[in-house]
Amino acid sequence: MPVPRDIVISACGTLSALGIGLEESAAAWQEGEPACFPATRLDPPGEADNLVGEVPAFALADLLPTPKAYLDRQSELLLAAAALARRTGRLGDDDFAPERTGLAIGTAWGGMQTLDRFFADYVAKGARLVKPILFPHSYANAAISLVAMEWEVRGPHLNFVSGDVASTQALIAALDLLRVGEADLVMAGGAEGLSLPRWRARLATGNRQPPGEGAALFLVEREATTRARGAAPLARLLGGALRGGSPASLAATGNTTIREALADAGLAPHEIRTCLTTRRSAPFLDSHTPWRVCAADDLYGDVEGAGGALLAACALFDPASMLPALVFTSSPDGSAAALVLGLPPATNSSGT
Amino acid sequence: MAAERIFVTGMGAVTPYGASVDRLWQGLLVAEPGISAIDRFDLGGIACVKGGQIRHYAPPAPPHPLPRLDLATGFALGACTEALAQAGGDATETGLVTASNFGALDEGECALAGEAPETALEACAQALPTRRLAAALGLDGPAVTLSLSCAASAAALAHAAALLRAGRARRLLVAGYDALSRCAWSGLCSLRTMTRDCVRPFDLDRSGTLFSEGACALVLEREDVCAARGGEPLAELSGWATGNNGFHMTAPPPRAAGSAQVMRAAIACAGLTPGDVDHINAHGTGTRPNDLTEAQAIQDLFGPRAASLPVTANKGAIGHLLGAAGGIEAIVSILSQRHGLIPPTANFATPDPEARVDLVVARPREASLRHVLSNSAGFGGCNAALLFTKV
Repeated sequence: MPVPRDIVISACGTLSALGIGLEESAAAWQEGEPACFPATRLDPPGEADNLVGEVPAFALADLLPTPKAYLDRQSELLLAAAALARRTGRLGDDDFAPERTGLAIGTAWGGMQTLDRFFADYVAKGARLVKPILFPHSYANAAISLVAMEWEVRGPHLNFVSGDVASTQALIAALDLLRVGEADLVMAGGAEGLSLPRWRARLATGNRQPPGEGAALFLVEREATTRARGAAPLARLLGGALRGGSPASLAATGNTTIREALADAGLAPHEIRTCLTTRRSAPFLDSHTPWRVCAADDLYGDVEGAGGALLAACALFDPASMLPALVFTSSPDGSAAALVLGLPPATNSSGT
Repeated sequence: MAAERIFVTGMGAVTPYGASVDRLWQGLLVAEPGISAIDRFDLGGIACVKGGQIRHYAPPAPPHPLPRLDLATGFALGACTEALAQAGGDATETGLVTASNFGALDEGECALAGEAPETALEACAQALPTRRLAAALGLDGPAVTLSLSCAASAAALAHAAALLRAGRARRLLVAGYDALSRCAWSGLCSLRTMTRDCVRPFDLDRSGTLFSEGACALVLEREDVCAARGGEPLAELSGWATGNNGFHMTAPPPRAAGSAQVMRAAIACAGLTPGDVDHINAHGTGTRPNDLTEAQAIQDLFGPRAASLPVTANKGAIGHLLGAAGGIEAIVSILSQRHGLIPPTANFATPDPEARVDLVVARPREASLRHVLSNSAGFGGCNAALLFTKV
């Protein structure tokens, strides 16, 4: 059966230390200066270097129609990214069928900031005096659920918590949902909030890269539906692959994953212009790789589960010079996941 | 070209009854109570003191021993070992899709409370049990972790089926698990969904649910892969769907529209109509809102036929196994199909005229079951439904 090649990214809402929105982030990217600075929202734990990649201040109320009594930081970031994607993709309330619209989101830590708050109350005050409002927001699926509720997105619903490859897996799931026709539109990407336990866990395992926070959410759909509402595709989502293995064999797993992703995309290795990856994944790339390799999170910090989504957003900062791009992420557990993004179709192109 | 069929070839369970699928089945057939007083941790004076705590359980020794094992991963290891043994074949060509609400939180909360080394904080991130299971069992296929509250393991089965059909894996072990811990228990109590009575799904006097711990595991593989190695299918996973009701973090929408949607979609995914379904294994939590709206969803989807479509709810006997619940109910659906026997819903005494379904009560009901539907839901509006077809 031929694989559909008309699946596109029609909008991107992104927030990271580079800025808010595609335009602002792209401008910061072009400057090429690291955007990790001393933390302002958290006191650094222990002996930590205090550099973090914080998202600049923003008012969620400016982006969302309904006020929120409480939000975890990860939910705040994902809701903002979704609002930005809808706005830039010209997606009005009547432009999508709720049951045919899916959500596929990746995060490593979910509502960790809230879980920490909730459990601190438990320790300090006892089980009877915990705050009921906090508990549902501590769930790893709180953020994706809030997006579903905000815009009545009722179709396929997948929340990936697979560590550093989570949002790459989410984007592959979006691609598959569209390929088999289980959805007409998928809001896909990832979000990671910064929390003290997350920072402490990184230090405890010897990870000294500045932690970052951020979100990137894409509208993934067919080219025809994008154009039908007057929007233009930003890129093609051509293919992807996910693999697992032991940590010791991550380089081999990574190579296999990349080979499979390129085959899935129908591209030869020489057709890729840029390989976007994370600082932690870069060592597992073949040293003879023919592409320009960019460890993008050197600029905005390690966003863990949102890593793949933020890398995909970076590919859109300067599409003419970066696409076709390969996004490669891996987890210390031995997992790898890769995505291939292509240049947007110039004109309406059909089918397969 | 017809899509490749997806077969279930192995099943494993660790529940409050004990560690095996057979123990689960035998317990459910006689509606044996799986609920007891929680005594693993200090309840801190909370009124909710009963749940499905697993006792006297020791995880099996895995092929590759692990230095540390949290409770939930230990439960999952037992279920996965049983499922892989039944399925046979080569574990090294198998991927892993896992799902839970809380992951290894029993270990993570010790670090949060300063009772364990800082390295244990990584247990607060949900990928840790997946990493441990894959390493312990020597699995080298794709590793995916999902968290979708109490619809998690049903959604994991749905996603695994999609991965197989898309050709992204040949064979997947799907595991759902959760353990009771201080943090989880105090949070679940704070939401006021728990009863001081027993769980009475669809009963007029139902007053809430009781939470349990445990794990489920199912091996899924494509028909061609199963046939090539001479594997024995237990059932076909013929339809699946996930969704979100888009309504509320903890309350179901009117007439459980989200449940009706995913049940309808799972049936359509199998190329069937509601008239083809022979039995429903319901989410049936025993809370007033869930059972009322789930019954309404069944009535809306099946029309007049709902009055004679047998429904059972396993949570009356074993409680609500959180992230493992959907997968456990999938296993029971398959067992019902294979044995031609539907286990009764425990603790049912008085019909609720507003939540009327053809509930199997008191004793198992014999039935010829070709297509069985399993419905799951969870906090955050998560929904998932699975359709199993007899092979």
